[in-house]
Amino acid sequence: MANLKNIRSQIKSVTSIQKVTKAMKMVAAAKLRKSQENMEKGRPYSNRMKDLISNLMNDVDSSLLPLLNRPTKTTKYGIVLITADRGLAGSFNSNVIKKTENTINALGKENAVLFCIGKKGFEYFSKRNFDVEKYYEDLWLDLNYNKAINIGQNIIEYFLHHRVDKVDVIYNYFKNAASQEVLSNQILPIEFEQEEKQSSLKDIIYEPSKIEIIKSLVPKYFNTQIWQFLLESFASEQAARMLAMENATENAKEMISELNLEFNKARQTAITTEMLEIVGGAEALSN
Amino acid sequence: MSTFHLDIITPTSTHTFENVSYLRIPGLDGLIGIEANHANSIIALNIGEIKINTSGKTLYFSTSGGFTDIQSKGVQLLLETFEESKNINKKRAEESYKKAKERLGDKSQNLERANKSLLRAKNRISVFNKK
Repeated sequence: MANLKNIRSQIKSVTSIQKVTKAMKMVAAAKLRKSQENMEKGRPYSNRMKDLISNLMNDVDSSLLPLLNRPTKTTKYGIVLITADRGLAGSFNSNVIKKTENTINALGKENAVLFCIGKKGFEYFSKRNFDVEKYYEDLWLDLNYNKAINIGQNIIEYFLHHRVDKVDVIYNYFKNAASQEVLSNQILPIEFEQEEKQSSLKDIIYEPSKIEIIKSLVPKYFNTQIWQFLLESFASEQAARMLAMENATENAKEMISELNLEFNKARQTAITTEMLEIVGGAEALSN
Repeated sequence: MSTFHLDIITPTSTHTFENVSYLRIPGLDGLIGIEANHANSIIALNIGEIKINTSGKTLYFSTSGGFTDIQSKGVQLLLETFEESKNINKKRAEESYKKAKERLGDKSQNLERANKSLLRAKNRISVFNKK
């Protein structure tokens, strides 16, 4: 009879795991929706910023803008790695980490300056004795724009002090809810597509001056980019977790039905044995 | 009195105000007042207070800087952060004021950044007191 009891307790535990994965999936779906809304809300601001900059760029000597200047020699590479704080999201974390490790190995460990956003990436690289320059912790729990400003200012400082010559960000790009792609984008020096068309912004008063305005615009634009990457990664994380948890729920369901079958078989066997015993016993008595 | 249309665009939200008769913004060289039919201009903003007169009401907001884009169809404010005076958490502002003061006394810290956060906190407290 021990077998029956075993199977019953297994069914019980798988069912409770299924409940957990189902709940996690629902939570991830709600967070995904929210982060997609946030991505939409951020768009008017960054688009308007970009318009303003590309309109002004035609009239301003871009060598005056340090964030746009390509250094003559690139020796130190900054890498911003965006991972999640938590696992259970399929290959979400491992994919970006793998790509980052490959990139660092290709550049040489001593040439790479690593900025980690998210606990998973930080843990991986600090355990393996990589030089993690900066770790931004407790970011995802309460994601707000001030955090993007902080990170943006920090990276800009590194760039302006020539501690890095080029900065790439490696993150999960949110294609759609079903697929995410690991991408590596250059964020510093900032590259703008020069617009050839004549700007329609004539007869405009600039206060205090064009160059002053664009000088304060560019770092602010940079912050919006960081924000966009954070939101993108957050949405990808939730989507990946949603999918992983859906698969887990499906697997649990399969397991439960298999276990149920096994349980019924075992019960049948037990009944049959019992009946044989009774019949055998009755026959022995009648004899 | 003629009025104009005002959009406040931040990285996390967009707010629209109709029938604005007067807008006061903190320019880099001092306060600037804007009424309807202003010449097209782009103005950089400092940390400071934004005052909006709309349909007989006066609203105060704190900002940490941004841009004003004035066009004939209306005015757009692009702000990194903005808070209405009644939504400002005074306790938090006072705490960050204290923290920034401490950091200013510490030579090892980034003084420029500490100074900025001091100004921001001061501004939020003063805007809070406006309501």
